[in-house]
Amino acid sequence: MPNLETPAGNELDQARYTLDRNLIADYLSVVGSEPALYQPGDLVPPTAMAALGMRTLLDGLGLPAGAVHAAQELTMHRTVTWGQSIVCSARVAQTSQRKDGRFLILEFEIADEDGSPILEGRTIVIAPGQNG
Amino acid sequence: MVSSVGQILPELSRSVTQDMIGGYAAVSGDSNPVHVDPEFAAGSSFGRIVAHGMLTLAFVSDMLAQAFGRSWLESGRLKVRFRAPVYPGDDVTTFGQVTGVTDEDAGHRIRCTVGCRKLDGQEVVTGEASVVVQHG
Repeated sequence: MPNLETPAGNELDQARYTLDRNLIADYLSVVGSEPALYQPGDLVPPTAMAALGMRTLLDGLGLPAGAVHAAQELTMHRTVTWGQSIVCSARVAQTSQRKDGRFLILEFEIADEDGSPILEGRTIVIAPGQNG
Repeated sequence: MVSSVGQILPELSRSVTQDMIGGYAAVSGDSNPVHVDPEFAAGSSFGRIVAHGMLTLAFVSDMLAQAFGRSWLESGRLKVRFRAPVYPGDDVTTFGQVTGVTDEDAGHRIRCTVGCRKLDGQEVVTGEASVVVQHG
């Protein structure tokens, strides 16, 4: 169920992912990524990890159908190789009601199993149909 | 290596298809019906299926990875707005230009305007990126 009333500051459930060969190969195939950095067994595209950060947000909030992704920030800290595991943490940073829907600023952080940061994201989503 | 003000980043072009959008929904776990359900999408503000913003953003990031290599993955910053929807059948091309270079302890921080546009020139993603390239 959508949980758009989650107050600002609330942490969503953490998620763990293994960046296994199938996951990254499928991502590269779909996106058509060509940089040599991402050849099999080498480095993971930061946007592949960001997609998992977004999944953590989506799973945690249950955004309603029709929610619109309005803006995105990404900050990269270091590389990750295929096969590594990551931990995604996410939170609601800010919410407000506007005429065209609920305005949400969401943040996610991706770290390794030891907590060393890999990537951060800040997302703005407009969710429709929430009044009051 | 791209490193001087005014330099243009190498463009990257992609044809966005319904298969690509469906594939991205599967691999990302984002199955918002505006991306995968034609009937729902027809009744949305977009009027038809639209691509994920993160898919278009991946094209921009790939351009930066090609321009700056490993430095992009280790120190890149990206801030964009999604300006307009991308539909199945759209051809899009990324763009970028260096706007500034400043010294930091770790190296030169190179700042760029970046984005992605359709063939008719409509900008679908616009924003800024920066990356630290080590001295020497």
